[in-house]
Amino acid sequence: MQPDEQQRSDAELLALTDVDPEAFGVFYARYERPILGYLFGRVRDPEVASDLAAEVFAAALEAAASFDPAVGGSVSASGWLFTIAHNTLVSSLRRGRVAEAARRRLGMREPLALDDLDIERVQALGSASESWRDLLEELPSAEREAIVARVVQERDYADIARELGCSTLVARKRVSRGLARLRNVLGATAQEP
Amino acid sequence: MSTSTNGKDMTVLPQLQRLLVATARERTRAHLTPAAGGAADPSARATAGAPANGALPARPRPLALVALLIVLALLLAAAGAAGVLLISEGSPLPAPHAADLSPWEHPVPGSVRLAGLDAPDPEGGPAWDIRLFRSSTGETCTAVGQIFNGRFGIVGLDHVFRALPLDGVDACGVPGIAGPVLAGARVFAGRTPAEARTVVNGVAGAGARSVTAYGPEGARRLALGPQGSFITVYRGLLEEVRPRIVVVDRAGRSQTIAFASSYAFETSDPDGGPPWKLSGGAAIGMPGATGDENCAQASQETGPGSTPTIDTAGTPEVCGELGTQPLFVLFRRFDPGDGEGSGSPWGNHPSRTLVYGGASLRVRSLVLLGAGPPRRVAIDPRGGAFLAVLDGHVNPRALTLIATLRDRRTVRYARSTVLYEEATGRRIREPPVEPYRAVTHPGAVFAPLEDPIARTVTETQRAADPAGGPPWALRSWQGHADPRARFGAREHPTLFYCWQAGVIEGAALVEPYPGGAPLPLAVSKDAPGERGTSCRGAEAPTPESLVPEVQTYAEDASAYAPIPARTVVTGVIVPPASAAVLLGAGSPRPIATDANHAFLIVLPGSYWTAPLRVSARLPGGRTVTSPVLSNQPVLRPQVRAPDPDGSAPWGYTQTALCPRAWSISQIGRVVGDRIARIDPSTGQMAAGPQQSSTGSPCGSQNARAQQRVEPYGGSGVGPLAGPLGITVLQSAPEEARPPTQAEIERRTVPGVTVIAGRAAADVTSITLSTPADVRTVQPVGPSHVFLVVYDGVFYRGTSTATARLSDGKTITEPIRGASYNPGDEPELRPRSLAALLRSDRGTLDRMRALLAAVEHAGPRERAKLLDGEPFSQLLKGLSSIRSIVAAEEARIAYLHTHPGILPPE
Repeated sequence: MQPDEQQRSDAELLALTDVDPEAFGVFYARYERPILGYLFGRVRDPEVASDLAAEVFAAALEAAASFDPAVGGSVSASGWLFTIAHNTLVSSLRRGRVAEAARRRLGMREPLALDDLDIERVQALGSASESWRDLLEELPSAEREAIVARVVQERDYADIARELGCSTLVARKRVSRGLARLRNVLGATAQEP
Repeated sequence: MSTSTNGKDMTVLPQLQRLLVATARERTRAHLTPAAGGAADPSARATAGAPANGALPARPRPLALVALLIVLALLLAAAGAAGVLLISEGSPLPAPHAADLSPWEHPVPGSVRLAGLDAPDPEGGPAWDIRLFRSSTGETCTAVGQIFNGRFGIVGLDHVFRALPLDGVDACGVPGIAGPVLAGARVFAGRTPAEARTVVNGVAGAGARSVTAYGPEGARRLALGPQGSFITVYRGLLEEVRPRIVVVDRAGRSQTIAFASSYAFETSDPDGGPPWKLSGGAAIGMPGATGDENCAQASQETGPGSTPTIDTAGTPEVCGELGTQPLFVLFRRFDPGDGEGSGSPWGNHPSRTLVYGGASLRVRSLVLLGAGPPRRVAIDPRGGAFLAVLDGHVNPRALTLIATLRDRRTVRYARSTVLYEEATGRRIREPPVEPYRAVTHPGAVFAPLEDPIARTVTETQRAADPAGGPPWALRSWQGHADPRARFGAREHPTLFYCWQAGVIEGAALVEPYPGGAPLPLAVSKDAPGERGTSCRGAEAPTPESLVPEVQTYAEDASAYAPIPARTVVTGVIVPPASAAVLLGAGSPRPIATDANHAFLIVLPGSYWTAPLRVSARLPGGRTVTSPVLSNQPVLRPQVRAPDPDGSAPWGYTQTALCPRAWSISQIGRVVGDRIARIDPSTGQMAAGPQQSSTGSPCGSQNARAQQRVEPYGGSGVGPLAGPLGITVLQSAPEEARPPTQAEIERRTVPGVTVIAGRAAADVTSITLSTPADVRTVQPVGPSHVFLVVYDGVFYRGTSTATARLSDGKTITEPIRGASYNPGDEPELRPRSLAALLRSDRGTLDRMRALLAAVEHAGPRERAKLLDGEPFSQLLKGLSSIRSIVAAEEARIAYLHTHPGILPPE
């Protein structure tokens, strides 16, 4: 992959997918671990999680061209992808089997064959998720609530402030402080959205 | 662009990445194929995806933040979906043993196929389908299951999917006797009533044009699969869904099959218990009944929610003359303990205020006031009976029943009116209303047998368990007869020796109970005796008083082949008997007794069929020996069938006690090669049948059906002389308990219903129509017997058996005893009053002829004619049938002279 390709935004990668299939490969690489970790954390079975991930990315591939960050007020590709993951998971839980509609529509008939190493890697992601969960739970509740509202629910600060009973400024500060705390622990570069 | 594969950027599942990229490439090719004029412009696509305002693309979201998203989403999702579990896959359910299957239950190789109907589950679970196969003898056989990952099986209560074995079959059938080849309403248990499923399914045959199912949500037109197969799934138990199907063939003919339907006129229970039903109609059997009398009686049905009790709440059958009044009605509160000694005791059931009676045709409608908002009371259009069931706190004196007549007049009733008691014909005077009474402890209703003498309670005997389990212990005591005990008049013993045998768990004595938690054994005044307690009167020893209690416990009573692990022998050597020995278990074993003369011996389970007995010496040197009660003959099954839960199979045999008696039908589990009793709840097993009943009359076993059949009563011989000699075993409702492992895996319903019989020689097949399904079986073996085992108990609906004879004729007979509600006993067709009169006049003529023959016969001939019955009995019977005929004639005459008054028959 060229360095400049690595720097493309999610939206660009999705938009390019229809003409440059490798773009979706980059998008996949970018979100594979988060999605696998999310799914494994829910189902606790590496093979089922992998199967679910295949369906999630197939659905994303199918809908890549229609992804529009402007729709719904600045939708992030990660939020969009996690919505697909959540829906796929819920649908599979309800039906009692992993959904495969998207893969069927795309003609992806090749089954995903996992070896022991694959399974170990997926399980390792699960451990990482657990540590994130522990970490988040160690945050003060005010900060945790603010982060959930802003980062996951993608609500605006005014709305969050109303719910938390504080000013917009305080809401921003709580998010900022929570992220900074996480950054320090992880040594990562989490940025305020 | 290429995807990096260096160590840092390597993906977890590179094969998935390759697969996705390859798929994207395939799509790209498809998009770039000129279809609408020229190749697509890649840059245009990329531009289209970029922000429309020309601003720089948004920065990629840092991975750390994405990971944070995951965690947060996890946190949020965990609360909402914590109860939802993904279905996992377990080992396939074991196949039934070939020896337990009938010949027609083996599939022709290559004939097994799924119908592909994929009926949706009401709550989004895996879809349901039917698996079909053709049997080696030409039947179509079906099994119901769910499709999971392309496989056919059942998702258990533990959310584990288990494939069903290929030769697992629910039912087989052939076309022609009862419309569809097969039709069923199979129930799959749930942990809650809503989680249960009633799966209506069947094979309507290739000639079917449509199948419509009717349930609580209305009509469903069902898709038809191969051979007209169909399936639809309802939430809830069969008794709640009460589905029916209408099958229409290509010629436009339709047939309706109703499952769990009841002829009973029902009304709901105020506490949500099983419904109440009312039987009503002409008082034909009542001596001296007038032509315009009707009767009514209320009772509560049993159902899946019933508490198992030894009796049901009884109410009096009341009658009234409808010619003089528009209706008769009883207002009464029934409290626990009411009606003792009346023939219709209420028992220890919750208090209810009942309003019931019968209405003539002149009554258009009924409204009840005084119990909340006015409520309309339905009238049974067939017999005019009506019933309202209210909570027992409602004072019957506060109620008013308003009858609106067809001439628009209204009549108000605030008291019981125009009532006779059916049994005696006496007018009923309504007793004063007693205060409301709550359900009492059973001990307060049933007097205890004995009052333990505390100082005599002892636990001195122990015995090792031969199978390595916890040690066994004996507790014994003496007790005075309770002064309230109602048995043996004044002749009962004044002192009892009582004992309990159990195992020591912790510091407590408990009775093993594999079906649940071990039952603590206690000494108290509760009656009719604490569970696990045996008592024997302190009277002069007799052979009977020495009979030991023998219980054999299986290592695993739920196993296909349970192994007897230990045989526990207990009893009392009542003084002055002494020097007792146990016989039948090898060399005589001396019996050591404790201070209360009780004993405990634990033998290896191999003695489970041994003829155990006790011998003891009396003063003066005489020896007394108990009879052998457990010495069951070895009954070999003539036909076998698998148990729905995979436990020991069921067997049926008919033992002829001819020429002096009837042949005996015997049903039980097959252990080894003999019929036995097994109780998976208690873990106990014993030799001998689970149920015995009289089968065919001697001499008729091999008769042709035409010689045996007496389809509609006639002389009253009834179904025992029918072509099928049917016997039914039905387990009683069970106490609420956690599901067994088999019930978890198979979603079978607690309890079992077994229908078996020995068919006449010319019966070629038998179509059994039950609340569960319609299926066809064939008599097998030289004994020409058949056996069908259903899981669950039929609480509602009637059952019939249709025999197809070798000459092509069919004979249908009711299956009595298949319904747990006696009121649901099948009536093949309502018999008109005229038909009843014809039949009863015929009986009267035969009895008169018999009387005449007896009067003119010599002593020997007379004895033969009376067949052991006293002459007075014949006269009594004659008098009774004469009065019934008179009542029927009076009723018919009244109907002629007063048209439009009495309800229709």
